[in-house]
Amino acid sequence: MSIFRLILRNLLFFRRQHLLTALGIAVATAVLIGALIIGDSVKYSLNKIKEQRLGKIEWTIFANGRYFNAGLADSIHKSLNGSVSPVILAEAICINPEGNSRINRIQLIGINDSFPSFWNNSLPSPKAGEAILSKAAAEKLRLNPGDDFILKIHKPGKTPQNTPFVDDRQEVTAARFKLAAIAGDESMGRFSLSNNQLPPLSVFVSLSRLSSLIGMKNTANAILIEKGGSVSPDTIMKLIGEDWNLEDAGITITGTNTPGTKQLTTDQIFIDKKLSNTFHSIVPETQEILSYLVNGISTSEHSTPYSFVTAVDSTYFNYRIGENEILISDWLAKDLGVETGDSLRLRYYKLGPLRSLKEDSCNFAVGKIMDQTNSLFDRSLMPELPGISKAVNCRDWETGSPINLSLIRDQDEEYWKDYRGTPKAFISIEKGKEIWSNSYGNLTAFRFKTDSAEKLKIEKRLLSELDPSSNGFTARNAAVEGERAAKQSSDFGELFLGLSFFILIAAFLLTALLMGLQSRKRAAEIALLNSIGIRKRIISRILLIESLFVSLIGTIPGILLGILYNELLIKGLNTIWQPVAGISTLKSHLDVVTILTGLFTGFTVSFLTSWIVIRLSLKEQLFQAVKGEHALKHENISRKAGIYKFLAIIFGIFGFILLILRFINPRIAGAELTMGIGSLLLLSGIFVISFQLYNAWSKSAAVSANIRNLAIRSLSLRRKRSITSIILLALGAFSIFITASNIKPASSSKSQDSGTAGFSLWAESTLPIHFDLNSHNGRKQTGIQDINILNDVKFETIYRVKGDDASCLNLNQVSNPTLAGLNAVSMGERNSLKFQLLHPFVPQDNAWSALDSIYPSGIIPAFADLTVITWGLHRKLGDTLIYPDEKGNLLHVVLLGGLENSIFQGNVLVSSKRLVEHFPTLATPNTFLLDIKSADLTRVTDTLDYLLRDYGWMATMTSERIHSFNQVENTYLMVFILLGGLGLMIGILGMGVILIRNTSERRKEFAVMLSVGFTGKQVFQLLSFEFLYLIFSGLLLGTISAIIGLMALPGDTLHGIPWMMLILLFTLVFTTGTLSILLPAARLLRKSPVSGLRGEKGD
Amino acid sequence: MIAELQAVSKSYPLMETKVLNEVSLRIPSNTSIAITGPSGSGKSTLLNILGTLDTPDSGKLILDGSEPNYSDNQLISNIRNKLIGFVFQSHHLLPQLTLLENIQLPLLPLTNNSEKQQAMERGIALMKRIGLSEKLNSRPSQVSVGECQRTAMVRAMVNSPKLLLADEPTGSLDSENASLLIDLLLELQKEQGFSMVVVTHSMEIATKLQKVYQLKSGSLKQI
Repeated sequence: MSIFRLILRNLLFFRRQHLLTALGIAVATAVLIGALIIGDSVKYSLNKIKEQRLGKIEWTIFANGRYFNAGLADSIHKSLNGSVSPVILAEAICINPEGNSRINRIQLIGINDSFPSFWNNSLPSPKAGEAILSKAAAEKLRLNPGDDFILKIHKPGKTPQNTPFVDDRQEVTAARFKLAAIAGDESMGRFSLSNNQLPPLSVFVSLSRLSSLIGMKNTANAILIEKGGSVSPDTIMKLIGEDWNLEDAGITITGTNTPGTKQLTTDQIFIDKKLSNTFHSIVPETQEILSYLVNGISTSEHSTPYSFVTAVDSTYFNYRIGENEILISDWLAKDLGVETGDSLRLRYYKLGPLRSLKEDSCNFAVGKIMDQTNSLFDRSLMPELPGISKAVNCRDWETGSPINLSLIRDQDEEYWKDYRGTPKAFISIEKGKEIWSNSYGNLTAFRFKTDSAEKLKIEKRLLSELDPSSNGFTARNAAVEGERAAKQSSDFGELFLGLSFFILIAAFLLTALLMGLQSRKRAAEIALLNSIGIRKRIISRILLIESLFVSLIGTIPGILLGILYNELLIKGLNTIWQPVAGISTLKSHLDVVTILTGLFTGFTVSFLTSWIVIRLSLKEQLFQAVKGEHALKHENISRKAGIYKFLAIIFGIFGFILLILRFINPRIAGAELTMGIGSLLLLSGIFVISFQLYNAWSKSAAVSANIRNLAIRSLSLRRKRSITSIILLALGAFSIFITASNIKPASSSKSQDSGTAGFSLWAESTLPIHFDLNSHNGRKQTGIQDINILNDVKFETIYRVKGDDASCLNLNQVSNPTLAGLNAVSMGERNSLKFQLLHPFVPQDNAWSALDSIYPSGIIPAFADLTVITWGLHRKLGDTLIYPDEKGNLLHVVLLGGLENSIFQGNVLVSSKRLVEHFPTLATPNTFLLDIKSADLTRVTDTLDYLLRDYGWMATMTSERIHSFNQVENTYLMVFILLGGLGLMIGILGMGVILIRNTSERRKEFAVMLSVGFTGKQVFQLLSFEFLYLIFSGLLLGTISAIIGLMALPGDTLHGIPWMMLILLFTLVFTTGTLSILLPAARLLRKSPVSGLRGEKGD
Repeated sequence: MIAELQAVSKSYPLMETKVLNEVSLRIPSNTSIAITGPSGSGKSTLLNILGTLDTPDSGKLILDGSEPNYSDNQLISNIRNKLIGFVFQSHHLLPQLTLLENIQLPLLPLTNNSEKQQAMERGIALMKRIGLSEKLNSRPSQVSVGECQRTAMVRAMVNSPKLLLADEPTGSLDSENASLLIDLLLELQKEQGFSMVVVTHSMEIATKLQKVYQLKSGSLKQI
């Protein structure tokens, strides 16, 4: 006989017990492996989606939304391997007139033949008049190949929408397309540059057709570059810089009335500071020009309406115009009847946010009256204003400011016919800058003397000084960003480990209990080995090697079970738990390293558990083992009972004191207090039960009186095991209830606590609405004036700079979330959203004012939902997000406040003023919050949907929006509850297994009872009572502690708990567990008592 | 006649020969009977049948004048509780109960409180009689095997059975304690007037009882 042989024999002899232990280990390992695999699976799926989205695209080039010559892509292509494709990326409204369906915001992509090469199985690019839809879009529109549909597309123009004097009416063009094909996920159907797993709604059309439709022929607004070679942003900017021209930079140099003098203007109308400084450095002797459309030039008696006035420096007329001096044309002098020295007033609009116009005025004294025919009265001083420059009559002007047509006289039309936009007056450049500067710039032109050769040099130098990046061109590695976003996405492995926490605990505890039980059973064997001279160390080694085998036997099937568990979780995520991922196409991905990690961890934990159990059991005096498994240890039972009683009272008192305090001072109500009260009462309950069982042991009770007393005495024999089982069940029930209390029901938008800030609707438009919809002008322009039901509707406009969605609906890690600009003053007055956390720099009593605070250049403060900051962005308060602004400068957005869950989830909130300063073109007013007093919300919504449909208006109830975010969290909570219930069931089954084992060992005990006259039914009652005592104590203790704790929460929280679901869950757990235990127990007890007694002989 | 076996036979699965082959035995009141035989001869089987813990394949058991209906669980339990007392070779005291509580275990099925009270008093008196009154609150693991066995004996007698069945009651004891235990049993048997059947393989013990039977090859003969 060798030790190895002994081990083999032991393994065989105790195979049933070992297999049970192995089962517990298998369950624990399965949960570990399953949770880890799901983490891999989600990351793999997101990466796969990223590959579908981008194909072979690596780099993307944008120009801050501006359009540039599409030929730039060909120039870049010459120097690079791989495809380079110009595209137009826009949004449109897509309508299926036959099917009466529409998509208010569809991703519109203009592509040429180079685009499909980014995907292996791609469709050919569509011809003019044809289009390709993504699968999701085709399904939503209910379109099939061959069907026609309409696209309504915004015509962008070269000039930013919010520029002063530029017509703010959206020019929209509509075109009919035939659906040529539907693009699946593997063939560009998933194309999107947003790091998001949701399938995009996209339509692909011919680039040349699209550019013609929107009046931007032969242009693109983005370039996509294929992977391959060592390309960097610097390389790309260099290539752009080598091939771009002034037109791409939006700059024009033209001739003027003055020979040898050229004029530099931009598409943006106003020249920004950067261009201004650059040009000054290239051409130091340059004339600054600022032309402005004034509403009127008047005296006390006469007025000349709607004229251009230009501010110039002293070199223009070789005359220094005084600060309040004005030089006028003779035409104007005659019109106004003024002479030199007379006083004139200029009235003009200053543009505020949302195109709010404030008329201002300034007085001047006539310094000189000059001949209108002087060449310096140059019509080219008027900027190229869309809506004005090409107008035949003044009455045809389409400006961004209101024109009172009744003021326009015949002589004004005559003037326009003869002189067009020639300025009627001049003021000093200093004065002009003082009164007419805006966020776009403070000049409209430069004039400089040059010849052709010099002009070319200047152009070349200008292009080289104005590097593309400072002109808004940016290059981003979409592939790397996408990969990073997928890799650093929400870690589902960790998440499901957390959610499966209770199952893990139940499985490991069960394993430990089984090991402990077995160890005690073998006490006599251990004592015998010791008594024949085998040292404890060797005995320990024997037992550990057995455990090693058992752990191996347990962990290996754990792999298969883990894979199965993962498949079930994936199925769940793709179906009933779809709100979590938002898609139904998650796929399993098995990684050997992950599986081995789970295997190793499961094996290690189970082996460590065995080691601890063996060590503890060998610590007993071995001679006591001879007396059998129930040898009393040296334990002062009475003293312990006394201690437990004391602790039960103390914890109970503290718990109830806290509860009473909560009702006296409701302000302290909250989650922390709930946990505190619940935990104290749970502990108190555990000590009560401990006291009962310890007391039952030490005090003489009338065990002959009834089965109950006998059962409690039996439980007290195995009190530690009994208490452990009860704690497990109590913790499980407690966690489930506390988790369930966090499920958020649908809220009312009226409640200011609901995260909706009291707004009823959240609306978005595909086309920006540049008007203040609360103003008369705004309502008139959009056609919503004089609609009674809309009279009480208040609009709050939000400017947004598009980025990635940082809400819980996006699984990808987001580094550039959407910036949303709010009116901080208005939000402050409303004071309707709660902050969970504020940076110390932010005033507690007026937090919103912090958004408008002035910070050093390039820094703006921001707020966001705290969950977005923590889980979406993986940041904390005080951290900074960096964005390149429209001038290529870096903007530091500092997170200073974390809101409670709100409708703004997914966005980073900044002041609209600050946002527009840094993103005058990209900050688009396309999101709106509506405060609706009317009870007939549906009618208001329908009316607005109809009236604003051409803007692609889409409105959602704010309560629904919040609910969609809450649904994600609620789903996670439901998963935890279900898995918790599964853990409870494992706990009960495990307890039952131990009880069955006990029943088997206690056959002699039961045989004696039968022999002294107990009926079989009475013995079964005894066993049932023991089992039910453990289950009920555990479940009731956990449930009651949780419910009392929940009374500490504010509001009517108990009503939000899904009671029916919990009742069903607990009933299922209890019934399944009980039946699976008591049925085999009953069967066991039906055997003849003789078999129990036989144990005494020859076993 | 307190009990009678009439041509009882019993065999076990996978065994060709019968353990009990048409065995008959009459047990009058107030009698002590010893049953001896070699190991595995079926002595315990015979005792188990007498105690209704096992059922014969054929033949009859008559207890207190009537044949028990084995399908009537309540009846069988009543018989075991009130008519019969069993002492096992290993004491089978419940480890979670004190000695006092162990002897009170047979009282649990009783429904009549005065009966219970009387039995309780009887039990305590017996424990005093056997010198264990000081250890009533001790647990089995705190006393010696002999003391456990004596307690088991009191447990068997607490309900004043008419028939006491003892299956190798001294098997776990040394010869001195064994002798003391048998003497005590016989004393109590005479005092209380119950009949006693003792299975033993010790002739020394067997000869102390009124009648001695030998069970061999399935047959029972008085010697």
